[in-house]
Parts: sequence; structure tokens; C-alpha cells
Amino acid sequence: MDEKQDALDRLMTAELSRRNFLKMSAFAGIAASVGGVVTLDFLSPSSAQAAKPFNFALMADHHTMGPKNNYMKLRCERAVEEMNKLNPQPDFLMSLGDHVHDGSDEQMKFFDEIFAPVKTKIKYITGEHDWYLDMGESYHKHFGETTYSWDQHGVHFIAMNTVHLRDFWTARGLTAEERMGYAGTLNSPVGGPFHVGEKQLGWLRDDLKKVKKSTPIIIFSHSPLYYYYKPWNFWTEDAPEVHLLLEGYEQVQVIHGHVHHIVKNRIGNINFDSSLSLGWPHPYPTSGLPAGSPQMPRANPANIYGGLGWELNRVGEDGGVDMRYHEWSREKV
Amino acid sequence: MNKKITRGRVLFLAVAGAAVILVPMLVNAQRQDDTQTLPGLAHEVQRKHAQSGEILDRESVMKGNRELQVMITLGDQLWHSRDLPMSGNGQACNMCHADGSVTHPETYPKYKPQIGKVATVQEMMGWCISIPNQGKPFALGSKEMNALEAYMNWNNKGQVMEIGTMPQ
Repeated sequence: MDEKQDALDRLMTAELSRRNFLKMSAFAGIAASVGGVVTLDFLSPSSAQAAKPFNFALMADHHTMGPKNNYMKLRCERAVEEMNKLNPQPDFLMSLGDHVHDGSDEQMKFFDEIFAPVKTKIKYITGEHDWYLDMGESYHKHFGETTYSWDQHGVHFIAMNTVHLRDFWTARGLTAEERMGYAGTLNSPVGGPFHVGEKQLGWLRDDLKKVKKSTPIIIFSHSPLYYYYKPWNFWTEDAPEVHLLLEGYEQVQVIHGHVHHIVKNRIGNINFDSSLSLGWPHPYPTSGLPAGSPQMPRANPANIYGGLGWELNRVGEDGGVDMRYHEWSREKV
Repeated sequence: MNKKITRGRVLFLAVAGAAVILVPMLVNAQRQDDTQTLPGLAHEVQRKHAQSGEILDRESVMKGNRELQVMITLGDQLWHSRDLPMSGNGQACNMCHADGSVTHPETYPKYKPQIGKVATVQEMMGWCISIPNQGKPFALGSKEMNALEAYMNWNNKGQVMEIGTMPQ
């Protein structure tokens, strides 16, 4: 337990980065799993360069349910208040999906009202909870596109919809609410694993054609873009095809939501980091944790902010991302 | 005449052959149906009483298996429920505790600061329903509370009973 606490102290106070990741010797002791395709060969210097260091904020998995769930509202309001106090303001705030729980227009309106006071520009991607009630209709109305890229300060940013599911509803004759229910239940086997999908893989292939191998790339996805734990759908089935498209790029960082806890991975040339949730904390699964990943201590259910929070990340000169977790268990309300 | 006898013998052999093949299959299917259990539950159709060694009646063993499965299945539904009075804010047990994870029923009873006393696992579930889920808890020992406990314990099968400890 002390080892876990020690590792978490470092995680929260130091700027945990690709560069100091291996220095955290406690990680080896707390790794719950040694499985998975993980290599730790990322100390070699990168020649990738960003124009100038900058900050961006992250939030994920709010799961707002409208007025019936005041806890969700309080957590979001706290995040807004803290982000607005940042000086200087981050260049943008990325919201990594599952903004609402049941995918309805009403819940998205409720979400929009809470986040309207945010000073910086908010960018969005979709989670499964935003999508499967009306297959993205309300998402598009409130949050815009799901698949896009842009260049900023020398970094190529990519945002994708990684929560495509095979059609499990038509043959079963499910209602929209039933479809949302199955897709939104973490451990339901009905929906099957997430996919990026052929169409989006084609888009990514075209998008990367204009990106130099030395340009740092930061990708935002809702689901982890690797195989973590299938029974809870911490899993993107065609993630290896994304990895292949990213081969040869010197600096690639994927940041995802969905898992509601801190998990880190490294596959080939790609770093993976998760975001904290603003909704509720998920425990770690019994297997599948990437070797070397830290684990957060279990959250206290008596603390409505326990195990939750958001991030302010720093992109360095080489385009690497220092993930800075604002985890609320550690801060007095 | 001979043809009739031959035909009769063929028919008899066919029926007997079919019976030899089909009857064990049907009996086996019935047994499988009787003993079909959720993963991790006992499969035996015959059981001795733990203390006396008396061989228990097969029907009562089967009934016990069936009733436990019914309770676990009900518990599964309740664990995922967001619409019943047990969830006042749309939060389900399954959201924080998918597959009964990090519930650690093997550590109860134990002192829970938020309850202010040594609490049983059902009292802790009642606290979770009341506070994080802002719902109305079922009575201790009610069918619903027992079903929730059955589902949670089935998911935590194999844990060593460690009353009062901090789970690892």
C-alpha cells in the first residue's frame, strides 16, 4: 500500500512525463500484470520538435444525467471553476467523451449550460454514451464533428471517434433506449468491442500523408487505442491497424478516456495515457494492466470527489506530453 | 411369413438400437438441465450433509442450486438497475463496481467510519444505496438485499475470508 501511495505521490506532484516515467522505480513493484505487448525502449532521444511549449487541459467521462444527479453537476462545476482560475489559460480544453450518460438532447443541454462559463475553447470527441441513443444526432448538434485534425504550435493533433460498434441492435429489434443501455453498460457482452472502422482508418491514412515523420502527433480517443481488458470493453479491436499507420513517426502520444482511472502504456513508438473521470472512478480490472503502469489507490466512496479530476498538460519542445493530474482525493474541498 | 418375421426383427432391432442410443442422450440432457449452473457454482447432484454425513435428497440439492441461481440472477438485474427506488440519481451499483469488483465482501463485518459502527456487508450496501446512489435501500434480509449479496459474493468467489482486514 505504501508503495502504491508513494508512486501516486510522485505521479501527482511530479510532472509525470515520458522522460521520467522509467525513473519511477516504484512502478515496477506495483505493476499488477506483466502481460501485453509492451516495450520500454523509449529513452532514446527524439528529434521531433514542436515550435514552442504550451499547455492544454483535459477532461473526460462526466456522465452528466441532468438535474436528477446533483453529484455529477457539482463535480463538473468544480472543474469549470478550477480551470477558469488558470493563468495563463490553456490553449484549449479537450473533452474526451461520455459528456452525458444516456445520450439525450436534454442531458447535453444540461451539460452545455454547466460548461458555458469555460474561458478557453472546448474541443470534443464522442464516447459511447453520447452516441448510441440517436447514433450521433444530438452529439453533432451540441458538439460538432467527431473526426478532425489540426496543427498548433508545430504539433499535429488528431481527434477520432473510436466507439464504433458492430450493429447488434437491428437483428434483435432493439429500441433506441435498449441500444443505448447495452452500449453503455461497461460489462455487457452484447455490444462487442469498439472499432475505429474502415472509413476512419482511411481518413487517418490520408490525414497522415501530409504529416512529416518528425512532426509530433497527439491523438485523442475515447477508448484506449490498444487491448487492455475485453470484459469491460477497455478495448479497441482494430487498434493495431492504427498503430501500423503511425509507424515511423518519432513522437506519438495517444490520450484516452473511458477507463475512469490512470493507466499508462507504451507500444512501439506510441505512448498511451488515460484521463481521470469527472463521473465516478472505475476500479482496475483483475488482469490486463500494462506492465509498468501506475495504479491509483482505491477511491473513498464517502468522498464525492474521490478518484476524480482533470488534467492540465504541458507539451514540451520535443512535442512530448507531461500529464499533470489534478486528482481531487488529494486536495481539500 | 419369413419376410414378415424378418421385417419384424428389423423393426425391433431398429427401435431397440434407437432406444440404446437415444435414452442415455435424453437422460444426460435432463441431468445437464438439472445441474446447469452459473460459472463457479457447484455442479454436484448428490451431496452429503456437512455435519452428519447424511446423503441429502437429490431434489432438495437441485432445489437449492436452482434457488441460488435465481437469486444471483435477480441480484445481477438489481446491480445494474437505475430505475428502481434503490437508485435516486440514476447511478447503478455496476458503475463503480462492475462484476462486483472492489466490494470485498470477504472483509465484513468491519468498522466503517461513514456508518460509525461495525457493519455487515448488507449494511454497507444499504449505505451505498442511500448515499452515492441517493436511493431507498431494501430492508436487511429482504429478498432483494439477499439477491444483491448473492450476486456480489458469486462474483467474489474464491476470496479468502479475512474479517476486518484492508483488502489488498
